Order: sequence, then C-alpha cells, then structure tokens
Amino acid sequence: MADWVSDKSPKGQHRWGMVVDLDRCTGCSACVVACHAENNLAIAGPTDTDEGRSFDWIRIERYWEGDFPDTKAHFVPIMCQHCEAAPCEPVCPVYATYHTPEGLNSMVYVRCIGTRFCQNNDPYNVRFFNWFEPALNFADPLPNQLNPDVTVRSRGVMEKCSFCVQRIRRAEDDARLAGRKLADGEFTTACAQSCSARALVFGDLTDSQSEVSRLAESARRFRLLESLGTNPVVYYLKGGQA
Amino acid sequence: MMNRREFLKISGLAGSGFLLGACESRHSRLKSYVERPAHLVPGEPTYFASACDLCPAGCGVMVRVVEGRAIKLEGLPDHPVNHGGLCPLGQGGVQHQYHPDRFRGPRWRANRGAVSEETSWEQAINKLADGLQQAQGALAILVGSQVRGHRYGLLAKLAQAFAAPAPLLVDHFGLEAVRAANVVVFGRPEIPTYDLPNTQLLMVFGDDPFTTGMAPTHYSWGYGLFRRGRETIRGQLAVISTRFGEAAAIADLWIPVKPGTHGAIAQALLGPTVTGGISTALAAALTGAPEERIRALVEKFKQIRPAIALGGGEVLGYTNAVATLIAVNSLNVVAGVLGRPGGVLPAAAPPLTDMVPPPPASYRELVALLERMHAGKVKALLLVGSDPFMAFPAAAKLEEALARVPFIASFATLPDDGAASADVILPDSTFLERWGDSTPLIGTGASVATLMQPAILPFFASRAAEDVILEAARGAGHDLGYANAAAYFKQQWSTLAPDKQVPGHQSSWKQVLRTGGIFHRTPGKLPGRQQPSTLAVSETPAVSLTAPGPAIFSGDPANRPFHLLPLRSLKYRQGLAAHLPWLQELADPMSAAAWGGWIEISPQLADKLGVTLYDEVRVESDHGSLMLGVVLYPGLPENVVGVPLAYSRKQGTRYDSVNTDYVWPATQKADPGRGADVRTLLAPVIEERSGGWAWGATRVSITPTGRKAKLTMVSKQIPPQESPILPHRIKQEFKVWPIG
Repeated sequence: MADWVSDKSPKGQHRWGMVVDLDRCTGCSACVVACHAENNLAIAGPTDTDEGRSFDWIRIERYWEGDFPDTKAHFVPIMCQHCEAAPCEPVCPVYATYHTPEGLNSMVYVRCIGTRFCQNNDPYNVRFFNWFEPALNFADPLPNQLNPDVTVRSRGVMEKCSFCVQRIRRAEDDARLAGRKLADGEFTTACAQSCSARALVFGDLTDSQSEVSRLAESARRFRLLESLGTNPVVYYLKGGQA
Repeated sequence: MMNRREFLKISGLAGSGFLLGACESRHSRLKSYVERPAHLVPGEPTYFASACDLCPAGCGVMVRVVEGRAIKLEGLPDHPVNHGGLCPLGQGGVQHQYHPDRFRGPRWRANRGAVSEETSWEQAINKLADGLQQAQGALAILVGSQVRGHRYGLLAKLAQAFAAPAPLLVDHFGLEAVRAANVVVFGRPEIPTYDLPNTQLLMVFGDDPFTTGMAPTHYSWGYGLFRRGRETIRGQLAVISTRFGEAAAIADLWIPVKPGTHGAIAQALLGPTVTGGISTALAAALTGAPEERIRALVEKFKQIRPAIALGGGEVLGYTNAVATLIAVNSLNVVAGVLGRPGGVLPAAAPPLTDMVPPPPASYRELVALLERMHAGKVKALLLVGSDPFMAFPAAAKLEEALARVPFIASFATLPDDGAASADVILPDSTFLERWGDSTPLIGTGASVATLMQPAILPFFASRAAEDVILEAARGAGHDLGYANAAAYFKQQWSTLAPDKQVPGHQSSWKQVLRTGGIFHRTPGKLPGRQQPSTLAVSETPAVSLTAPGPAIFSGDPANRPFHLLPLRSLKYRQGLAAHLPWLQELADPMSAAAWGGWIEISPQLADKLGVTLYDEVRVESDHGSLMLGVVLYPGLPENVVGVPLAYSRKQGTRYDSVNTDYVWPATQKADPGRGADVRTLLAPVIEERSGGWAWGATRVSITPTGRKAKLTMVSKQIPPQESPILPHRIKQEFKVWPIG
C-alpha cells in the first residue's frame, strides 16, 4: 500500500477510491445524468430545484475568477468524498450512515430517521434530503427506467453518493463465484463510465498496480478541504500546466 | 433354431431398446411451457449493442436490459465515435423511451381545428396511403438530421416511387457553412478527422466542440488524451469566442472577440505577409480583443506543431460564417497538418457506402419549401424524426405555410409542434425498440457503420416508421420491395458479405449484432470499397484569403443596442433534449440555471439597467418580444446578452411546453411552464454563401419590467465583483476539529 494511505484506513479487502483529473474535465455533465440514471435519483421539478431541493449525487461546480475580459472559470466535479474520518458519520443517532470495511461512506435508508445531522456536518454539501415522496415525480411509465439494483428512497430519508455500491457488490460476487480476484477496471461507477474524457477514474486503492492508485500518486494531486482532516478518498489532480 | 442364450440376448436387447426409447421420448417431451427466453433471468442484466439516434453524432451504445426493461445506456467500448463514453443526452435515452407523454398509439383528426383522437393502425395507415396517393408528385418529406443511415434510403425510395422530390434533411446544427468552407479549403464537404490526441496546439473558434458541438463525446475523448494522454506533452488549448463558455473555461488562452469578428484572429495568425492576413494591431482593433493575447497566440502558432484550428458554434450564426471558417480552415493548411498525424485527416466513408444521407438541406432550401407550401404546391407532407419548428425562427411563419398543406403525417414518438399540426400521427418506435443503423457525422479515423437492434419490445403500440411506410406504400399501389423493417435492414447489411471481412452472411450478421456494427480502423485497406480520398493539400501554403468582412445584423443599433447571442446549451442540444426532465433539471455548467430559458447579462450591464438575479426583463427585437429572467454572467461583454435556445414548444410534452397545466405530484406545485423560446426574437437572416440561417444576427433592446421572473437556479449567485461565486462552505476553510 502506498505510504500516503493513512493508518486509519479500513481493513477490508478493497479500499475504493476515485481520481478526478481536472485537466481532462470539459464540464460536459454526462456524469451528472449518468448518476441520475444509475441510482434512481428523483426529479425535483422546477420550483423545488430553485428552492435547493434537487438531487445531484455528483455535480459540476464552476468557480468564477476575475471580471471580463480577464474572466476565468474552473470546473470541479464534486461527489461524496467518502472520507476516512467522515464528519457526517459520528453524528448519526441511529447509525444510518457508517463506514463500510471497504471504505465506503454508506447509507442504510431503512435506519434513517431524517434528523439531517449528517447534512449539517457535511462540509462538501453532497447529502440530499427527501422532503417529499420522491417516487411520485416519476410519472407513469417513467418508473420502468428505474434500476432494480438500487432502492428508491422514501420521504424523510437522506441520500448520497454510494460509489455505485450495487456495481461493486455485483462485480465482487461475480469474481467470487468464478473463483478469481477482482481485476482492475473490471467495473466502474456510472459517472466514470460515462466520462468521455476519462476525467474520472474509479478503483481499488489497496492495489498499487491499479490505475486509480497510480494516478493518486501524481504530483498534481490534492484533496478538497484537506485542512479539515477528513481524509477523503477522492483525489483531485490539478488542471493547468502543473 | 434359436437357443436359449440367443433368445435371452435378443429379448434383452429389445427390452432395453424399448426402455431407452421410452426414456428418450419422455425426456424430450418434458419442457415447461413457462420457460422464459434465455436472456430473461430475473435480476441479471443483458447488454445489447446498438446505436444512439438522439443526435447525429452516431455514438455506439450498450443497452442494459433487465427483465425486458431498458434501464441504462452506456457507451459502446472502443466505438470509434465515443470510445465508451456517452453524453448527457445519450444517458437520457431511457427517459426518452419511457417518457410519460409518448404517443400510446396512432392518432388522427377529422379537421385541422379538432383535437386528435386515437385510431387503429389499420385506419391510420389507410389514411397515410390515401394522402400519398392523392399527393403523388406533390409530396414533401422532412427528415431529422439525426437520421444517418438506411432509414433515409427507404424514404428516398418512397419519394422516387411517387415521383416526388428527394426527402430533405432538416438540420438544427447549422452545418451548411462548415460544409461550404470545407469544400473551399479541404476540397471535400465532410467534416474531417481532427486528430486531437496527437496534436499539441488546438485553436477553437467560436465553438464548444466538447459539450454542444457536432459530436461532444468524440471531441471530449480526444481532449482527454490531448491534455493528459502523453507522458511529457500537454496539449495547449486556445479559444476565440464572444461568450466565455465551457471551452473557454478549460482553455489556456481565451481571446474575447466582438460578435462576428472571429475571422480577424485567424487572419492575424496567418500574418500580414500572406494575402488576406493582417497584423495583430489591426486584429485587436477589429475584434476588440486585448492585443497581447492575440500576440501570445501568434507566437504559439509560430512555434508549436502540430496545430489544429477548428471552427463552429457561435461562428455559424453570423452572416460571414463561411468566410470566417475558410480563414480558420486555412490555418491548418498553413500549419502543414493536412493528412499528418496530429492534424486534419480525411473522413473515411462507412463500409456500407449507400448509408450516408445527403447533406442537410440549407435554410434557403427550407424557405423555398415553405414558399411551395404557400403556393399550394405541396399536397402531402411527411415529418420523420423531425420537428420542423425547431429549424425556423418564429418570423418564418411556418404555421401559416403548414396550414396550406392538405395532408400532414407525423411519425413523432413524442408530442411536438410538428405533430400538433399533423392530420395523422403514426408514432415511431424509439431507437431501443426497432431496427436501424447509423454512421457518424464527423471523421473519426475509422470507417464506421453502427447497427441499431431492438433491445426491448415496443412499450406502447408504436411501430417503426419503416414498417408503416412499406405498408402505406403498398396500400397506395407502390411495393417498395421489402416485407418489413427487419427484412429491409438485413438486406441492406447483407451487402457486407462479399467484403470477406466476416465470411458468410449469417455469421457476419450475428457478429454485427454482437459487436454493434463494423468499425474498420485502417480505412485505407478496405477491399472493394470506396477509398477515402485525400484532402486537397497544397504543399506550398499559398493561401490567398478574402477577408471575412464584418457580419451584418438585423436591428438598428440606436434602438436595439445589444447583440443577442443564442446559446446552444448542452442541456437542450439544439432542441433534441428539451423533452427530457433530467436534461431540463441539469444545471447549465456555466450559468447554473435549469428548467427553460434565461438571459445572461454581464454584471456591469445589470448595474446600468438596475437589475439583478431573478429580475424579469423584456427583450425585444424587430421580430418579437420575450420575458426572461436575469442571470448575471461575468463572461460576456456589456453589449452582448446570451439567451439559450431552450426549444420550448407550444404543444410539446409536460416538460418542455411553453405553458403546461402539469402539477408535480410529490409537492402538488403547479409547473410554471418553460416560457416562450428565443426563436421568437430571431431574425430570418440568411448567410449568403451557404444559404444557412444566420441565427446570431439579431440585435435587441432590454427593458426591466420591475417583476421577478420564474427562474430556476441550481446555485444562487453572488455578483462576482462582491465575491466569487463559491458555495459558502467550500470557500471558507473550516478549522480542523476532532472527529469521533
């Protein structure tokens, strides 16, 4: 394991992580829609979206700098950082959000009682609360598009990026049944799969040969709000000439 | 005489034979009648290779089907267009498939004033056959430009059978100018292969090729490799545009130019020694761009090779589009990159040469068709995969022209304004439910034909347009020679057999079903196929250029002080994505606005007008007026305003209609509707050399109404002069606090 992996790392067989290469991201937003499709994210509608109740487990943030004509902007895709020391986890009174042995910041929907303490403690704004029954906005026959591998959430429940845990489980099961080790690149998350520019790379950080491990060692790497000490497993690679 | 031993032997054999026979027959008969097809295992996904036909790019897709439902689309790995990626519109394909407002079956109406009502397929097809028979030669067919395969061929056969003019492809992308300029500089109209992964300097004029252009997935793939695909080389990107858009945001150098002056930068890059070239000082004066940035680009262009210049987007909307693109294309000649790695390579013809549709009709040709309609010379109009309202400004008065056509049939899958004007609606199956094929719009470095196969059964009583056309043509007395759509496409693809690429037709058919099509990466070596011709390379870059000259705008600058820049947002993709709620709700990556239209105004102009975010303004041109909500946009000069082409429809679906009575079930909140579209304002000005629509040639005036607009912002903005637009908590570094 690489030396920068902290000793707080979970002791599972894998440790899932992601690298976001900001020098490849074009802001095309394919990842955003791919996530909606894979994870049964609800449609909030125009009024609720404006009131901040839309669901985006991954979003493209755009940071403006300077005034015309010296305008600059940067795209940063932001999803749950699956922090090793996640501030959202210890505040949950019912253990609805917890850290899996494989390093996922996970949500157990049936435990969630909707205190929203986790959302309050989440420095990255990547948790979304279901203020209304989300399934209702899937007008018939839109429910046919729903992914049967993913729970449709109900009202009063918090939801967030799961690193496409359903894909992880399926790939792990397939490998176990075939009696082999899970290979790097055998599967990926919906956002990384949709990314034409290959800005998003998902994989196992315990495997030093995996693409994600190799990229995460880049000199360009940084993590969001590193000073908070949350130890995210999402590594960003700086854009520009760096 | 049989002894005892023999008798026992024979009777034993006979007995065992009887028993064996009995066993066999019993086993072979034991077959449960509730057995499901092999690919229908509960919980197990099946993947079908296919092609996406939501836009003309021609990406290959994998359709993930679980228990007969298409639940996800992924890019087809190694497809030469998208290389496994897929754009937001392609991801929305399943929402297109299960859209709540899809036509459940055929509809017709007795007269133009009436509301359409359900009918049977038999009656609808009879009505179409009658319409065709009565029209004969006075038949016009409009086809959406995303139809890039043998579907066009069948429609052409239909037109031929009735001695009618060939079907017209209706394009929303403004490719006329690109093709016209390509002919002049490259000697061929097709969009060549831009070898982005191997180039070192990319100069993008006016376009955002990576998010809204002709094939965003392909150029994004190239961009990723261009930046970080090589160990030591990082490609450099320069963007020349009026609005600071998605491409400018990722560029190393952005040169802001006045509307329609992009060509002057290309002239400056050619240098004052070339005929038509100009000095950087003159270019700065013409474009209003900072001269040091132009000089910086000139320096880069002198030093860095290979270098590619690519034009499109904004440039296509002006009256000097072709001249500008010629100047841009000439840069590739000067750079000496034609036919070289990291440069501009010829586009290869697809392996099935007859599948490429003709170029899209120019706006001028479409206007000529409207005149024929007005003159009563069109007796029947077929709309296949095309909503003609998307391709015209409101000022073209398409509605009045359609009213003069006695019979209109629409093959729309979903309600649109074209279908609303039709006498009979024959809903086409989606690309997930039918046979079809596709070929890329742009050069990809390979010879590509992608096959579309029915991954699922038709969800509603829709039918593939090919099936309906074949049957109606038979009804009208013209047998086009094919039993049905499946037979038609199989027949077209059977011409592959002599290719010896995959011996035996049956196996080749099975192979293309499995792989999704034919992708030859060495297009120069196809036996018996049309060889891709080389580009017209002049070894001595003796480019002689006529200066593009100023663009002409509609509207008096005294009354209409602002340039209106219609934006081709990745949310709506030239109108092809407006009906999908995911795409409506997607935040525009630059403005962070969602659901419908808005107006982007620079913060300085907003101060002068006394407006801010959410304020409503009245935008007026010589052709119409529109109410829009203000979004403050730091990437625009003061005299230019940006309005997305949101493509709201008068009679569209619940998600893209101007007005809707839809109430969102979860919250019981009424949907405010998408509001009128910017096409209401646009002047019907024609780009003379290509006959294209100069959709950027409109000037407008803006008056605040004093009201608040129904605007949907995913992120609330703070004016950038006060604070950069950052989410509060990300901007502010928190102190480290102990966890757990």
